[in-house]
Amino acid sequence: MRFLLISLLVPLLLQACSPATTKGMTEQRSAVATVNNPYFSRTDVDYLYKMNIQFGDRNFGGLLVVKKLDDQRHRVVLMGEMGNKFLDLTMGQGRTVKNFAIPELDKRPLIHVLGTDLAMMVHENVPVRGEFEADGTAVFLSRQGEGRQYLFFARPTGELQRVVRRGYGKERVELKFTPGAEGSASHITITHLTRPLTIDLDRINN
Amino acid sequence: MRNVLITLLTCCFVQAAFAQGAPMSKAQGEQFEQELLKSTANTRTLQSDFTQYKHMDLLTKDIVSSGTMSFRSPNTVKWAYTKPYDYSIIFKDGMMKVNDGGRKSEMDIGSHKLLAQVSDMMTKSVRGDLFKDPAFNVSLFSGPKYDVVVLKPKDKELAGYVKQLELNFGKEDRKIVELKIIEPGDDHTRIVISNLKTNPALDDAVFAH
Repeated sequence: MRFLLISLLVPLLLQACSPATTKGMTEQRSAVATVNNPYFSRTDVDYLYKMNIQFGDRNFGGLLVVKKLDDQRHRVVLMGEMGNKFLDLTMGQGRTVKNFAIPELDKRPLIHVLGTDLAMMVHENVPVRGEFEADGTAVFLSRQGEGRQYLFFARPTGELQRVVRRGYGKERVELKFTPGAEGSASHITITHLTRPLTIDLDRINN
Repeated sequence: MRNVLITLLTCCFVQAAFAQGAPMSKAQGEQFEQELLKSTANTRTLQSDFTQYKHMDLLTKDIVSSGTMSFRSPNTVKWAYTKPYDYSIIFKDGMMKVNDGGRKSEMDIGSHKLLAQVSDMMTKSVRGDLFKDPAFNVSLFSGPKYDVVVLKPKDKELAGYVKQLELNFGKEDRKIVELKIIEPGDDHTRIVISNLKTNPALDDAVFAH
């Protein structure tokens, strides 16, 4: 009787503890060590986006340039429509380096938040720690520092559709990609789920 | 062979040093200033097309955008981008008004030193009297096609963002044809003015936000 109770309770407890991000999905042994985010993977392409940041009722627009420097690093530059540079970051190998920031944006928490979001967006070869499967979607788990990232790929196209970052038991950030021409993303939305911050990016063909 | 190399290198250095043209003499500078003031004295409004080339060493090609510029004396300028996106920015009476594809915002730039200076530079560069600004060291050059005003900010904070400004003026009509803002790392923004009309009728609707 005691074993019966334990055998009934354990699956229930495990299900209750499984994060909402992968709820109802089947965990399986992953055959891959890394998964690939293809949207910023070419060194010969200038990735140019019209950017809009909505923070509460405040709105901030500009252009975002992403350039892949080498296998490990991307440079990301935020500037005004008139060409004036606001923020210039180099990211890769688990860290973000500030090359330039105007005084209004040169705040450590702000650069940390933007840097973390944009690093998540451009991170190309993501190490895999687990895999889940459900209804035409493959989800790969990766650990990034203190948090976890879940990358959702559509089956059978293999398109990366979204990335969810979790931390301290909650979903923190959701990033959605709309695939566009030549392997780039035509639209990207970064939504913070615990603060009123949304970043929208629309590809500009220069 | 050594002499040929030295001659070639010297030519390259001389060309680089006078990329904007030869420095004007004091007399040439005074004449240029008088002609420019005469040209702008009766300017109440200006309107033109513009093409902007943002050059960054990082990129394989410049970012190109275009639109129309409208100016009304004494200090109202509107830059309206229509390609590859709709975006307009109006500098007027210490305010900056932005319409970003339908999203409108206003900002008092009085408390933002950098924005205030950028706004001031834009207005004066269109008006043609930027070279009299005490905030800049001014040099004048005479090139083959244009005369060039080069401005270097004296203020250290502004110099952290703008290394120098170059304004190209037509030799005959003294109208502005090109504006170039060079950053400390030598990335730059070049704005080419075309179809410039002097004193067109510009009513309030042009500068409506």
